[in-house]
Amino acid sequence: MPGSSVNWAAKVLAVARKDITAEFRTRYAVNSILMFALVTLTVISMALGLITPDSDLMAALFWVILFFAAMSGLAQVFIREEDAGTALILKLSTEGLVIFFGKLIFNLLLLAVLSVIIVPLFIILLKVSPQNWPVFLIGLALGDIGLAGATTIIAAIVAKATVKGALFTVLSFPILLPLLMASIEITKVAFGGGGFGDISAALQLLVAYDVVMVTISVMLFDFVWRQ
Amino acid sequence: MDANIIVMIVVLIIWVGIFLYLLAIDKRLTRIEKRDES
Amino acid sequence: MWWKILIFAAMSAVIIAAFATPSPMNPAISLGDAEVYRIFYFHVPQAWVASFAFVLSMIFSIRYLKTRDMQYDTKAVTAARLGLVFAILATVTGSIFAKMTWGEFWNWSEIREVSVFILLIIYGAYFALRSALPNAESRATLSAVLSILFAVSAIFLIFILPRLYADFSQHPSDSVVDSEGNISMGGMVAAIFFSSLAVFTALFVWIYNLSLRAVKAADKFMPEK
Repeated sequence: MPGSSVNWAAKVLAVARKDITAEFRTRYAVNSILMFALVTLTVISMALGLITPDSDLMAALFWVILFFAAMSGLAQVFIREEDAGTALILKLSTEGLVIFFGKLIFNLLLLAVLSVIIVPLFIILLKVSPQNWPVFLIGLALGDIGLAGATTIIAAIVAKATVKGALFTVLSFPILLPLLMASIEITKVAFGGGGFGDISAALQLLVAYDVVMVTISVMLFDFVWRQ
Repeated sequence: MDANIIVMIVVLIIWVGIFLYLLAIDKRLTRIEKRDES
Repeated sequence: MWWKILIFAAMSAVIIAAFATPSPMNPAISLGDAEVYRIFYFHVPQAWVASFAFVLSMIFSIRYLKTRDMQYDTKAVTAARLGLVFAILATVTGSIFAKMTWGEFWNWSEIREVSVFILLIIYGAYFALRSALPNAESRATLSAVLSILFAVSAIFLIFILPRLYADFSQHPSDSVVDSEGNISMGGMVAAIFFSSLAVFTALFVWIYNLSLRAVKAADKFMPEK
């Protein structure tokens, strides 16, 4: 159908925009994510005190912060619908796929905001800096995509459950393990000063992971959404 | 050699216990299933 | 009926052989007492069965999503429950082995132990989700989706873990698995090992069938809404 793909993209953006405006008003998810990351960063910084651990450890800590921050805020996007009672209306208004990508974009934005704020603070507080910025940024970008891509459907699942609290983290952890390992490896190389040659395997895995997880999520999303 | 034999006997005893337990469940289930058919 | 006797005889034979024959580990290169490595005849098959159960559960999950037939959900949970038991067994035997060889109950640089542990976590997460879903249909559907997601992730882990642990080949190797992960066993060791693998798998199938029958029998007396 002529124009349908344009319509499709517009619908996806409409969903994302609705979430962004809702978020703007209440700022639940953003606050949650930012404060969590800040607190974790501060705790780590204070705990380390005068110790300067090696860059490998820093790379791991960086992703620990991102992971837990993501766990505190990325499920909001679906839980909010259930809590507000708007889930049913949303279900009726458009197809699952549109919802999925709309929410995915929202989560990605959330992570982007988080990354932009956390990276400078991380560097300042922990006195560590990537020697190789392109490698670091690519790793961060792909890692964020993977984080949002793999957890959006989990968020949808958790929204339907009764005891939501720790469930999101419990379910996400095994799913995100490959992502965390690959991203940590790339960040290690970035901090240590290596080049793209050193990370080619991890990079391939990360890209494959991002693509596969989003694809699988797309295929399975309708099952979750229709419940 | 001695320690091995002891462990072996212990494990064998445990295994026999497990096996007999499973057999008991099996028999009990068969009995229940037969009862339903009649 | 005869196959139950066969299972009994085979497992007994494996147990006897595991302890009566020379240890599978070469004492010259073993860490600690070479005799401890006999646990390998039991630990690895348990880990294998735990993984197999997970795959089986996932296959049933897929069938459920396709047919919406509740019996597949029942099969998926039953397989998962049993898989959890074997995963716990495998983690415990692995831990015992670790204690006897390296002196610690746990060791994060042990790639295969980490894999079994991850399997344990996956099972835990699966049941955590199920217990948070009171509605039978959503429980079946959502846990099925989760199973599939975990399986995909596990495939990635299989590729990435060995890479990450390439420097840490502390798992008993040398006589069985060399540092590249290739398995090469002496004839007798192989015979005992593969027999053990077969017996544990058969044992799993038997217990699985018993569980299924038990669920069906319970349903007759207390049918779920």
